[in-house]
Amino acid sequence: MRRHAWVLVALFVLAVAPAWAATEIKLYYPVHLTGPLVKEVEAIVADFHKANPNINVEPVWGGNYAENMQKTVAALQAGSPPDLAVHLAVDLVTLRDMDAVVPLDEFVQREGGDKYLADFFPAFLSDLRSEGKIWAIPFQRSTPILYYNKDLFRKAGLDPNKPPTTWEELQAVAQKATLKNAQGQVTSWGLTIPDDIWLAMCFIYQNGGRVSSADFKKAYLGEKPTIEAVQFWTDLANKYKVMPRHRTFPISVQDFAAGNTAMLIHSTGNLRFVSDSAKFEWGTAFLPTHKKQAVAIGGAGFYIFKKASKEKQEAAWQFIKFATSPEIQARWNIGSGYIATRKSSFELPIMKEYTAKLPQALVARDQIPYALPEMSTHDNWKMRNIFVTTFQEILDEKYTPEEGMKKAQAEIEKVLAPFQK
Amino acid sequence: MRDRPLSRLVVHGLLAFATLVTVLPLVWIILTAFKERSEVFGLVPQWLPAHPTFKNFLGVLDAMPFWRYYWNTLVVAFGILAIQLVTITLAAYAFARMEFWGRDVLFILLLVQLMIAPQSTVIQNYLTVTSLGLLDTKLAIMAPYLASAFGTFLLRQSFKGIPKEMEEAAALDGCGSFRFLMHVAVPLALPGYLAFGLVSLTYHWNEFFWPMVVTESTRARTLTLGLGIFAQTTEGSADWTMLMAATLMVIALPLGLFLIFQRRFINSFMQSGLGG
Amino acid sequence: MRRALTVARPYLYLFPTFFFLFIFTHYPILKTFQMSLYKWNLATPKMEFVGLANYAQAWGAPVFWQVLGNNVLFALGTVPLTLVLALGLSLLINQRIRGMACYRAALFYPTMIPMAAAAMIWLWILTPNYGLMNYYGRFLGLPDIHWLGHSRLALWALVLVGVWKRVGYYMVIFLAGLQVIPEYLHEAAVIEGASPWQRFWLVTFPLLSPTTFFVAIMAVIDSFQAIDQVYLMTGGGPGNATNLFIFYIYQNAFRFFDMGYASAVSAILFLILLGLTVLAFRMLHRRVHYA
Repeated sequence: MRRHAWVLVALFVLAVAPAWAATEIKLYYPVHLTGPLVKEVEAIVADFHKANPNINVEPVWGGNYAENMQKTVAALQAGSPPDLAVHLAVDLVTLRDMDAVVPLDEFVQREGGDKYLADFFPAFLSDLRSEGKIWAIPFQRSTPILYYNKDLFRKAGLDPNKPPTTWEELQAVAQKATLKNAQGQVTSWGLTIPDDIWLAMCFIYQNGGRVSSADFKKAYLGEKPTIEAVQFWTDLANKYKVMPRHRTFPISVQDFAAGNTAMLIHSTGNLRFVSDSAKFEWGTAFLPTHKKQAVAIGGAGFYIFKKASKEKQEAAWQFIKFATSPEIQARWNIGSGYIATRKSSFELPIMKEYTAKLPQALVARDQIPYALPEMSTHDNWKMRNIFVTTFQEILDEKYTPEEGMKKAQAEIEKVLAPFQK
Repeated sequence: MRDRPLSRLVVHGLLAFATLVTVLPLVWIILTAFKERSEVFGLVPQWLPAHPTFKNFLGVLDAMPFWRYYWNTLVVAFGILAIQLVTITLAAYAFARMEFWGRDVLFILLLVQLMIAPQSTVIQNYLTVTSLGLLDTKLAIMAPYLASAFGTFLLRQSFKGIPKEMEEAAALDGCGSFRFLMHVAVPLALPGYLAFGLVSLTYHWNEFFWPMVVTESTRARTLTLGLGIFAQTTEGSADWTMLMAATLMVIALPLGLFLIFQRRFINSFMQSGLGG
Repeated sequence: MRRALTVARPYLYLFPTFFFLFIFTHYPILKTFQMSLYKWNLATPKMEFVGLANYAQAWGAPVFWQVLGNNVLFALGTVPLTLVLALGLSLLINQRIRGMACYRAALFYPTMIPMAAAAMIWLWILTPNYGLMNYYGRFLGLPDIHWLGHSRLALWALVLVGVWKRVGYYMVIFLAGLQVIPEYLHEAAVIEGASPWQRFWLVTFPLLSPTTFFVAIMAVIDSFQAIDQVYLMTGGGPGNATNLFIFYIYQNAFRFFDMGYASAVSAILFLILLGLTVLAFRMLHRRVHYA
């Protein structure tokens, strides 16, 4: 009887051994846009598994960027972090502060080092490097662009093929495009920009300003170029009244798609939605320039976690290579609106076809040479919260731009004080 | 009250207005759920859908593991109730019919749960659940609720109503305390159980915050939470029609059961007031 | 042996309940007070005892006072409104007129749906431009308001959603209280020549006072623990205008990862809730009439 039992056990072990040989890795990813993107990610995972049957990726959707970060930190505290996760570039500092992730230099070296990285848009790598190492590979990146409604331009007597290119032009065009009714109430806004510091940063950069230091220890929100940029923004809303206050990220896009605002400054990630919903002729353009042409990079990349075993880290790297390959990035771009992070993606036939049908999609890519990293400091989310709250209070005219930004700077300095070693 | 036509008219008028305010939003979202996504962006709201479609509902099934969430919610809600039935029965019986040292103090300690809702102790409960390795499990969602002060209260009322003579007679017949509880007290308190059951199920079916804090993936995620996340991730996709369809799908069961068993539900919630 | 069992029995019966109660209610409260005395955040990854520093931080943080103020305002807005409406509706429904069951069901149904669903519904209705609210607002000559983005109105929008959701439930509680009032008291009042208004103030209202009191307490305690609609509709904004206690605690613990400070704020909330309950029971002994 005993002998039979051992035979059974042996057979059982042999039967499941192949399954054991497969490496299981857990991937946490955020989705900041709706439904179909979850499917897209799952499709990428499925295709990867077909090509690599000995690796099983378990994709775990953690909500939007903030929620996904919270899930990762929760998992870290529980001692069971994911092996691989998609997090914002600005979250690098927090992940480093928690010593949660590993540098990817070794993996990159194996692929050909700089030659491998050369195919990625340099701007998309710039904010994923720190302390001389590279910590993540760009996966879903975006920049803000200017969307404009050509039909509304025509209605306002503006040239539909001439979107504003400077701050002055932006203001003038917005003023012409803002329509009011007999009671003086606005029926159509000239411009809409949601309350988002990512977008505010663009204005600060365009004014020649700076936002934070590369070592994450300092913020520069009290400086003159910053204050001037914020002044310009608030003037648009409060002085020239061409922009509504406090439109949220989603609502502002809906406004544009419904034809209620002639211009919109927003993420390129909404291209798909606008293209599907807009019943008018529309175009996209670079953000207007002032002292310089500049825009802030947004979005996220793949991080590998320290706690994962060498084997799992290997498997994770295989997945990263796959998901950031030119073909997959092209697919991802078309399906989502994020910009493909590989230059060669744009040479592929499916991309050429896509951009031929939707030339507006190329603006974001063409803007990349002018893209700069987003503001990022230690205790990043708290810093952002202070920034955006004060910003909203300035818009409400509770403080002048100067008072408000200096106050925000002082509060942020207090938050950053413990990190100044 | 005297039955005057004018006062009757006033009463109906006021109630009708209140009903309108309450029911109109529901009607509005039902209609929205059947519309095409682009239909809803006009400045003049169209009440009826131009081309009614089921697309949105299918889209929801596509966009989230709806049936998974359903299953999780069923397990959580009924699981909580099942265990609550045990804990409240024993505790209520003790408080209602036994004399023991420290009864009043323990009763006040029970009261605390009514005053401090789980959302206020979220940090510590989250840390507890994490250290037990229960993060992202249905058990984690259930844990803080397995004891129920409310249920204990309600049942204590019911048990208190049983005449002492019954208990004494049963004792004379050799029926022990536990057997009395199970064979006499519990059956007599059935209405109380029903009331509590409906309130508990409703509350836990509809919960959002605590499940949100302790779940990470679809493994344990409940319906309401799935709805909330679905809404949160509509950056710029503004899929109102699909969001309304999702909302409808989530409330369909509780609302449907309510429409059928109105009286039962309302009576159950009525009793929750008398417990205080 | 028998005696031992008899003595132990109540405690055995209470054990399951108090087991869970201790782990998930009492222990967390105590631990929160303890953790509030430590610094534990991104700058201090290992817990460090700092005494009352976190409380000092709250004292000196304008956002904390804003949150406190918001929550008080929210309670002041929600509770009286809900009570008056609930009481009024319950009096109307208590008239023995046809169709009451329908009205009652229609007014009660919001209790059956999750607050999250109510949040979705009202998010949609309160959307600027094509939300239902603004459409009717335009009819009345109002400008297009972005309710949830308006720093002064957003909190009232949340009050509206809260009231809409809860009125039906409190109405039903009042109904239960009304039905316990013996009919003969009303009849006696009629015979004495009391007007409906007098009947209400001199008979109904005083006899309802235990119910009213109970509902008021529950409503106030609930309003200090409101979270679902804040999380789903406004995220505390704009500019912290709708930041309420639980959301502020959640934000600090789970977005900024500052557990020590969040614990201190939680502890302050517990003290507030305790204070409210004690105050309430003091009032109970003084004001409430029992038949």
